[in-house]
Amino acid sequence: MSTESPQQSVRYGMVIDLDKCTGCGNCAVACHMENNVPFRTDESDKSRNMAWLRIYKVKNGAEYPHARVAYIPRPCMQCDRHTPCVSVCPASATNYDKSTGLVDQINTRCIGCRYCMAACPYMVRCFNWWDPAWPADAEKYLNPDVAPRMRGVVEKCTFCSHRYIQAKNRARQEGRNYLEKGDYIPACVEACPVEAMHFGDLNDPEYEVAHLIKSPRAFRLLERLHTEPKVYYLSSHEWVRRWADNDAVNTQSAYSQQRQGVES
Amino acid sequence: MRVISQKRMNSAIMVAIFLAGFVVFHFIGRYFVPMLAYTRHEQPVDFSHVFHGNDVDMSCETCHFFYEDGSWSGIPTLDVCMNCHSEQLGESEAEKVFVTEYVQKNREVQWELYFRQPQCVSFSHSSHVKEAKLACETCHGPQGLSRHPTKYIVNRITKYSYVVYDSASSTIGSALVRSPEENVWGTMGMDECAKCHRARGVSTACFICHK
Repeated sequence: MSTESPQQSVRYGMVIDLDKCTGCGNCAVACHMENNVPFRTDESDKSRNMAWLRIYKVKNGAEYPHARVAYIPRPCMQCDRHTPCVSVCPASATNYDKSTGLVDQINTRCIGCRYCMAACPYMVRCFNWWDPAWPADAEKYLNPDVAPRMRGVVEKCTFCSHRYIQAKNRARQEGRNYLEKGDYIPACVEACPVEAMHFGDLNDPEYEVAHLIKSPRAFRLLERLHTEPKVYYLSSHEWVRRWADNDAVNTQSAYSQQRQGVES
Repeated sequence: MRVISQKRMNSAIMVAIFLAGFVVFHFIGRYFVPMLAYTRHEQPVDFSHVFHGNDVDMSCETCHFFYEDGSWSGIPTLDVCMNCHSEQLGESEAEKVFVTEYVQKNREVQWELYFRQPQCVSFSHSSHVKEAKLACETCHGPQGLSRHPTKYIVNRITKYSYVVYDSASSTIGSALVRSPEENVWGTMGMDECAKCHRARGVSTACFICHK
């Protein structure tokens, strides 16, 4: 369990540029395919459906011609400090890996109490209300590196930790005991067509993300909770930042203030 | 003294008889017919590691190797065998069966693998062999010295399989029960993994192996 903000060498994190994101949903589809996330015939019930990466659409609340939209792709935030899901899990089924900063889920250990789902401020976690069922042909496309989950357990985004294991295998084969830039990338980042998503070690200046998180455009979701997420967002719009802090009331005023600033 | 009704007395006696019977039969089973708990499978092809390694002088890496991406090849598939055995090379009965039944029919050999892991486990050969420099024998036993394939023994209840490396031994059953550390190489169950990790001071955190 992580109690303090750890100062370890490797901390994998993600930076998503909301100014570039078009909300196309490629990352979400790639995530579904990569991680064998089950789906239902009718996906309209969003309180029951499964998604490791959801895309939220936010509006600035203004009327045409000033109406603006932004899309916020939301994987697991991989909280660094007081990781809420880890600290509440009674079965130790979820863990903070101090060597990488990844929050992993051991599905076979989960007892399905859903305490972590209540604790997670980002609604990242999904519960398997049914045994996953795939159409006959779709089973052939399942990823053999990710174990399908069963009814009654919680699952979540792991930053494609199986890809981390594969990257380490490849590195060892090449005689390295470290990962090089680009060895390990989650499926969503790989799939982004506009390169709005960046991934890497936040502590290593060789990675772009280490610089991007210091940008004045950078912010995180619900920062005032101080869970220190390792997923950063970039936006030049104040109203988007207000949304990220769940401050819907001030969204429109933030937008009009910024617009006046630009016009004057 | 409290009066116990006849009905309750009867049911208490029934329970006592059941428990006594359970204990008696448990010990009979445990010490006289222990192998009842296990099923035993013969391997489909009588493969000799010694013949391939010593007499033909092949290296282990011909069939068991790391791919370029660092994943482990495991047991060779039929096309690896067919590099040499596209037709019969020797006169042995085992090879004849292999060529006629599998090569000519283009059928994969369904080996009984005692080291198959459940889906929720991600085992990396490269971390154990390349990084920790463990010998293959540490987990697999002296398989490379076997003249006949090891028998596959699986517990009917736990479904754990055991490899008994001394396949010439006729007392496999009793060996499994009486002196497992001498004759049986292991179960490849989680306890074995955790035992070794603990002994070597490696992390036993769940996510090390589970995915």
